[in-house]
Amino acid sequence: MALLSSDSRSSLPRSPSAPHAKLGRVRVMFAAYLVVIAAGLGVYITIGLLHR
Amino acid sequence: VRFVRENSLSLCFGVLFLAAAAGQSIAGHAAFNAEQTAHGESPVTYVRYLFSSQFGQALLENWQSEYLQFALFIAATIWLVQRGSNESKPPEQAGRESERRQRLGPHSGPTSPRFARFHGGLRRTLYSNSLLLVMLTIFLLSWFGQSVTGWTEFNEEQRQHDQPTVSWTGFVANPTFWEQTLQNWQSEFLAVGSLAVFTIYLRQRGSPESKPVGAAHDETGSSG
Repeated sequence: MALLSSDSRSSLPRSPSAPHAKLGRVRVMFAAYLVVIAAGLGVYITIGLLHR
Repeated sequence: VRFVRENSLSLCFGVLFLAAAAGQSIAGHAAFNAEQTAHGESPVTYVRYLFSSQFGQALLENWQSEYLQFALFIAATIWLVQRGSNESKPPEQAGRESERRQRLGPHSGPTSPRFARFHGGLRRTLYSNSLLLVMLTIFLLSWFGQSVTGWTEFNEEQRQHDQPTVSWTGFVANPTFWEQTLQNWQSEFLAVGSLAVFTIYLRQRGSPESKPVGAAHDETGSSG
């Protein structure tokens, strides 16, 4: 799969050997990245606005 | 162990990010205090530096350009193509593609995300563009963060030199802000363009960022 462009073969049916395994704790990674980004933005936007 | 194996890519980059940001803060703190001493001012603690506009500005100025790069690339690759590049769709697929190809509404399957199964509506539209919307939002917030922390820094410098301070709008119209912004943008655009062009002729065995080693140069977007 290319860096960002959509997978050109994404419309093909998935092979039975690649089942839709439950993502489970993968969502923890998704949440962790969002939390770190939101924290960074929140902290430094606030600092920039307060300390002017 | 299974969690680490299944998330190794995001874990690796998460750890690299934290290590690099920590390194930046330690080096930045040392440089800041050296400057303070040179100007006859008292040094600041590490924690004070961590919550300073100077560190925030240095951090967010790089964040905004990275998220702009990805947001722009996500949007541009919907319509723009590069024949032979692994980062591009084949030219005949340029555009937003059919509902069938995008597995929307009646073409969705039992495992499709809930909003993709809708036959239209705002929620489906938002979900259909959610990746771009989130990247764009992070870009805009980082850029705004860069502007307000940079503004604080700029006015601090002005005060030290007995110069008049400026408003936020004055700062975003100032060459200082645009120099800080564009020096980051130029490198991102060059890197993205290079990747798009280099993947036509160059290969990395095993990487999804590359076409298979034996793929023809004129194959477009053929990695799997």
